[in-house]
Amino acid sequence: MGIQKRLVGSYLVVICLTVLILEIFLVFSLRYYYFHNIERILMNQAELSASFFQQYFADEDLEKQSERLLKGFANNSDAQVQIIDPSGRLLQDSTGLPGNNIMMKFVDVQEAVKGLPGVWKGEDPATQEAILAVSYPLKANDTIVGGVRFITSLTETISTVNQITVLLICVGMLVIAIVTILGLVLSRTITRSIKDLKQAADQMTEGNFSIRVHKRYRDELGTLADTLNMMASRITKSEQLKNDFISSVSHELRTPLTSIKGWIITLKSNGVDNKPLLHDGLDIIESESDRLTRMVDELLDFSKLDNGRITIHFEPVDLTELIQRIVRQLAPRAARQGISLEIQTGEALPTIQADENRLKQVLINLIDNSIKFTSPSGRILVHAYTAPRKVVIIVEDTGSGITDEDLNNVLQKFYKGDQHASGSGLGLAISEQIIKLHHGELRITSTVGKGTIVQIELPV
Amino acid sequence: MPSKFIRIGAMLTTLWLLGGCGVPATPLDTIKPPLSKANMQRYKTSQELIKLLPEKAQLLAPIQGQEGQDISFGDMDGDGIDEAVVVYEDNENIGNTLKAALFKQQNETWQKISEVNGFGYGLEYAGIFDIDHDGNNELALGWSLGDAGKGLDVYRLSEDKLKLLSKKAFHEELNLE
Repeated sequence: MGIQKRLVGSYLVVICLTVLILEIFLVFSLRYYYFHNIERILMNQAELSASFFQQYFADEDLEKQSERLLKGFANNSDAQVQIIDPSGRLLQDSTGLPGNNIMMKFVDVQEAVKGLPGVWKGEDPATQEAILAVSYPLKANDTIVGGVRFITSLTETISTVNQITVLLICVGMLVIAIVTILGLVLSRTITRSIKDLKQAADQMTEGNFSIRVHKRYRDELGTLADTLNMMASRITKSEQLKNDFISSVSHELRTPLTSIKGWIITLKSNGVDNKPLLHDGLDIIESESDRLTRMVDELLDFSKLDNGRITIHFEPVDLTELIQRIVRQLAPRAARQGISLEIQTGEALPTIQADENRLKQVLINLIDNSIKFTSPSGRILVHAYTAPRKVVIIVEDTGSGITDEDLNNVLQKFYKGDQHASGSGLGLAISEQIIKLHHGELRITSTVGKGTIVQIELPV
Repeated sequence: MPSKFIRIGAMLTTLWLLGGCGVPATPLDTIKPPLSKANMQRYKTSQELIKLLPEKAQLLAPIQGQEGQDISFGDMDGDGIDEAVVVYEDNENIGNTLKAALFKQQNETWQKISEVNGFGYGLEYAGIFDIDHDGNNELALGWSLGDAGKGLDVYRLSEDKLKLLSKKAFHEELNLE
């Protein structure tokens, strides 16, 4: 069953129950109100008549004054009024019914001649009409001298009660109808959002991540729509990154391979005779192979990082020595490009617990990046110092800098500022992961055109 | 939720219907003759007396005599200060609801000192005068049961209580002399 059906259904059940209880209550109150009031009015009238009789007319014989009394008793009432003697014989009747009828068959008359007020509801023996009769004893000096009886037809009452009952039921139906329509409209505001979400989610399951959910209201479902949209755009973006990565990695792998293959062909045809050429060629093949190896290592590292399988082997590392060794190793390359690579370590750095190879990988990656983006006659400065509870290593260059937009993304895997630049786009991402595994921090600040500063903080 | 409002509305309507709370007067009920200067004092007094009666009491004016006024004045205890008699319908209780209350003026304020029950449909006559010519004023209250006849009660004030002197039935016009 759909949500809308359930919502409207529960609305309907609640309102039907409410209306039903209300109707039953109202109808019963209505019937009580009418019948009880009629009985009370007649009883009042009878009591009033009887008490007046007892106060002022008790001395005279009932039968003799009955005609006059009847006029008075019937004065204020539209009901049929009868005066009865103690044996139940009818003395007077306001509708002109012949006298001398014995009325003892009526329960109310039996009560009255015993001295108690009596009420009887039933059908008129002659006409089968529903009637209500009230009898009240007439007393004179504590003896019962007869009774006064008020009788009303209930036809009018019953039809009025029925009329109002029908009206009440109609109103109840109307309320139910209105609530049902309102329920349908209101539940649609909820179910429409849910339907939208479901359709979008279905499309996404099919692989269509370009779809976006229309946000109708700023409620929980609206938030859910936002979340779904954000998820879809993230998936699209990472899909894009993956595709870019594959094409750039293929390209990267291809460049050194082309170079190696080209030299091998050259050396095959001319290498035997030309010693210097052979030497140069082999050098290039060696460096291109190194580049390939490095790239494949990076990919392996990355997949390990991604799976969380990378492990850090902590051992005592002399940072000063390590930095000097790396700078010495990269200095020739910097020199070839006309960049000055300087080192500045103030006081002796402490020996820290770290994975030397991984740390070396990070530093080489950072300096390598700096060399790549710094023009000739530029300057790269590596310096390190101790701060309370940590060691700070800074690689600073006068290179091209990174735009703010790129700066937010450089630490993301596969991200490359320029899609056509060489490299896998993994270097910085891997470096950051390694520093994190050392419980340290890697921060990049940069100004376009002035240079970049990368700061590594490692706990002592 | 609209269904909630409907339910609350229905409940309030039911309460209102069942309670029948304070149905305002119909236009017919509000028609009254304007006050004349002579009636002003009487009106003020009647307003004061009404405050001393039960909440739902309704004043009855006698059909005969006293120019249809609903208060009768007269000195019953012989101290020279008029007492007042008000006949009212007590709508609080079911049953015999006619009552006559006697008020006495003490230090400019009225006090109810005695009350007697009435009979029949309405008040025929109410007056304070010396019926039996014994020098003291009595209270005469005539009750009516339509064409069946009338009843006259005569009360005397003794020790600040109304005591029944006589009870009589009349079938014709009341003859008080």
